[in-house]
Amino acid sequence: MRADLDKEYVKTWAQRAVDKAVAAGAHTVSAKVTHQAKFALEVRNDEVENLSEAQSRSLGLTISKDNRRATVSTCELSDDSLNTLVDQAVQMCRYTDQDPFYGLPDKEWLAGEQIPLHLADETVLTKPIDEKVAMVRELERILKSRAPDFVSDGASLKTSMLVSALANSHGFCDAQDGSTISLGISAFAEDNVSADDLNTGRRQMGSWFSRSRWFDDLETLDEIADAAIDNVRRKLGARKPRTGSFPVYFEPATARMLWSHLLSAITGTAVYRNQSYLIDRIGTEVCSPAIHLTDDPLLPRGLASRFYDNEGVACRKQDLVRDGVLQTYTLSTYSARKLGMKSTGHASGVCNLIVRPGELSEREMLAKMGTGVWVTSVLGQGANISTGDYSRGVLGLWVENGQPVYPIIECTLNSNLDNMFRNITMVGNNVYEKSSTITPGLVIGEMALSGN
Amino acid sequence: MTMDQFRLTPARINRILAAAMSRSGDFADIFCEQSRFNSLAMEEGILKSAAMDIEQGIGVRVVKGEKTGYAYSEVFDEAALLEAARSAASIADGNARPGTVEVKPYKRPDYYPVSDPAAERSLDSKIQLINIADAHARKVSKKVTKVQVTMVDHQAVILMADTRGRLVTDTRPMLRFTVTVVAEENGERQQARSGDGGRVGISYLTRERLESFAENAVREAELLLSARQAPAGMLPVILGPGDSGILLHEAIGHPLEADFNRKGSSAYTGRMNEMVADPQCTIIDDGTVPNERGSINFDDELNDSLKTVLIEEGRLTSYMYDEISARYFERESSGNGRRESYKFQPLPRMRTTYMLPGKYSHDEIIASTQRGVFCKTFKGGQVDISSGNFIFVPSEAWLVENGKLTSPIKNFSLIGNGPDVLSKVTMVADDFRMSAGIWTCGKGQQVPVGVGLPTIKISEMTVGGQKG
Repeated sequence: MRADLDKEYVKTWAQRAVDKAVAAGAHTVSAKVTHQAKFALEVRNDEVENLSEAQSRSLGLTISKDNRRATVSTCELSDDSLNTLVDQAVQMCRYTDQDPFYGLPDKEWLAGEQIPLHLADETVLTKPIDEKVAMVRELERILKSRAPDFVSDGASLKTSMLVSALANSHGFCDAQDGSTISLGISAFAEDNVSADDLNTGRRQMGSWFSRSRWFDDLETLDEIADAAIDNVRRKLGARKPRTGSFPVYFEPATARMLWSHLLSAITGTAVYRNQSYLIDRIGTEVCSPAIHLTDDPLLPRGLASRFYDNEGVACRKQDLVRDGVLQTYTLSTYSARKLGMKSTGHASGVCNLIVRPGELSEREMLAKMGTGVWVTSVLGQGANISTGDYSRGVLGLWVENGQPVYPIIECTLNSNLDNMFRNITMVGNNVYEKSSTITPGLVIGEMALSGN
Repeated sequence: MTMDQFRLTPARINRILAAAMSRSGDFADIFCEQSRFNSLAMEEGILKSAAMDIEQGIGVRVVKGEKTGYAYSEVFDEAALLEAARSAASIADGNARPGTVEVKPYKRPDYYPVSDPAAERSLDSKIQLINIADAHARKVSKKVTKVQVTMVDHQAVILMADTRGRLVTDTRPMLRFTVTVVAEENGERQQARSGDGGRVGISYLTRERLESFAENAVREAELLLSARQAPAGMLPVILGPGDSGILLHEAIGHPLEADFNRKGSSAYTGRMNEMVADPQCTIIDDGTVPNERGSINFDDELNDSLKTVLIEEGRLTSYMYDEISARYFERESSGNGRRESYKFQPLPRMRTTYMLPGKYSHDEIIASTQRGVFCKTFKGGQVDISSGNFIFVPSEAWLVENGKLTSPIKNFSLIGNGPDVLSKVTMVADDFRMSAGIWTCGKGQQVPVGVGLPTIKISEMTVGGQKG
């Protein structure tokens, strides 16, 4: 099944693609070849309801001639297909305009020596299917035994093993492999509403998925089932809250969403396109002084660990925000040159984002907050990176005197990202580790809650 | 001809289907796809990138009751396809003697005849169109500081065969053109986007249309520059024609997908034939609208594409079925089984979802409103199908005061509960319009869809602004 799922195979194709494109007259070439084995399994009501398996390949090629660029890709790895693809790319370069900022990264930016990061768990490919089925069945059984009034919406396991090679005409050629595993369950329960309410038929669904690179690093089946059950219970009996201004607690799972908005706004691409609210803000306060954000690409077994980005530029550990002050934009070669800077190794985005924890436990933060909103999930597309405007739907808990009193639903939180990050009043010590954004929960001083 | 592309013959198809049925599945199908995507992007007045992607593969599916086995191969030799078939077959646990399956071509209508697919046009001719839109966006307003124009076309050649003996082929064209602008004034910056597309040929992109995309994007960005913060709390909401159909997609569409109802997780489970909306509401999901982005000649499990009435005068009349849920509910599929590509199994998905027009005029509806909001265009939406809690996010919107649109407003979402909001539709106008062909629906996999709506008034829902 995995005869050719190895690094040499993809490296050979990536180098071959570079050589052919150079021979066809390309001035710069960058080639990426991937080979992936995917597996998915879903169990519902103790039956294996879905089983799928596949291997897929891809070969992508970006070439330039006189600073005119073209990108082509295919899933067919054969000499015929590669020849056609290279011809196409060379043709297409005649039509694009000269872009003086386009080019390969400077040679000295490219990744060199590597240390083992342990990103590939071979058992993803070798674990017998019966064992996988037994594990997923057991997860569902635990949930049902602990919450007999809940209905399972299915427990699932997904695994992937990806081998990918990158080569360019500066002589870079390397391959990496990595596995990812996701194990989780969804369940729902009846949530009867009062007779005069129009929300007849309401149910509440909750789920929890544990993700890791190694089977050993997954949360236990008990932990996953309990987290899913808790996520249903935290929605049962939900009410629409009153409109007003309140402090807001984001637990680690939703704090992650906030950081993703900040990361979008500091990408070099958003900045040079005038599509960020953080243009010209390096060296200024973009978060409260309590905030310290570090990108660590080299965490062993890290979900987003890597040595180099998709241009081959070395990724390194670096502070993005120090004491609330923005240290850098996250730059690819292109966006760096547009802004007169150097690539920061972020052509594939931020790797593992580490948010420095504070001193307070979740309970202490809630106690200090007193009355306000506890956000457990976020809905919608209402974060505008260009302006910082923020209006998103939330589900969560209404907190009074530091205690959650009832779930809330059908409400939105409104503010502006710039105000929100600078108004972080508390950072917890309750870090959730099993994510590529490793953050504690946090409290934002005040946001507009819209409900009744 | 299509068979050759996948190195298939009727005999080979029969052998693959027989292997798929070797463990006593209820039925099996194969889905063969050869796709070509082209995209061009202009930014800062230069054509920065041209890209082309070719994807091809064959997926084999075996179904037994509610259970599905799936595998695909990107290699077309028979050994690989038989291995995929056996892998998919393992979902069923019996042992059948491989029977014989004879597939025959199955007739179907053509809802998107296109004589000039963009996929077959020269780069030169496409670049000319991009230049028109780009130049116009810059000309319309001095406040414009950045313009991005993208043109994406996709052509998929599909062949499907199943153990019912059906064999179908189809060519599915798709075109999408988008203009994004950034406008700036007094240190403030706003971004807006406009575009259109569908299963249309390149001649759809007339100069008039291209210029209107540019004008709409610029006008919206300028409006946002002068917009005020939106109010917060429960208010009457008027949804303009076209784009606002996203309300239907989120509030009622997703929860009526039959997989959720088969599993019992939807807020509408067990409510067939009940009143779930105001009697002014008749809501349809339709795969047969000519050249629409959400149209299909047949769905991705070889069932006829249909026009399905979901809600008739407020009463729930049908879910959207794929083959598995249709068999579960012992009825015919409504032709909603769709997939993103050969890499995915089909699921119940929407096609083009719209509401029929009513008796009021647009102006009457605005005039009837003392204080509320009017929403014209949208960015997107999301729903929790179990609670019915849904959200959608406007881009161009206005405050309504004393029966008139007074000032543009920004930075808010609309949130509510599907059954609740649809019961509060108090007025439906006669100005039905289909939205521009730009929508993509995500449910673990992406499929193109359409929406449409006349102007409607919702007596109250939560407006997520910040001014109390």
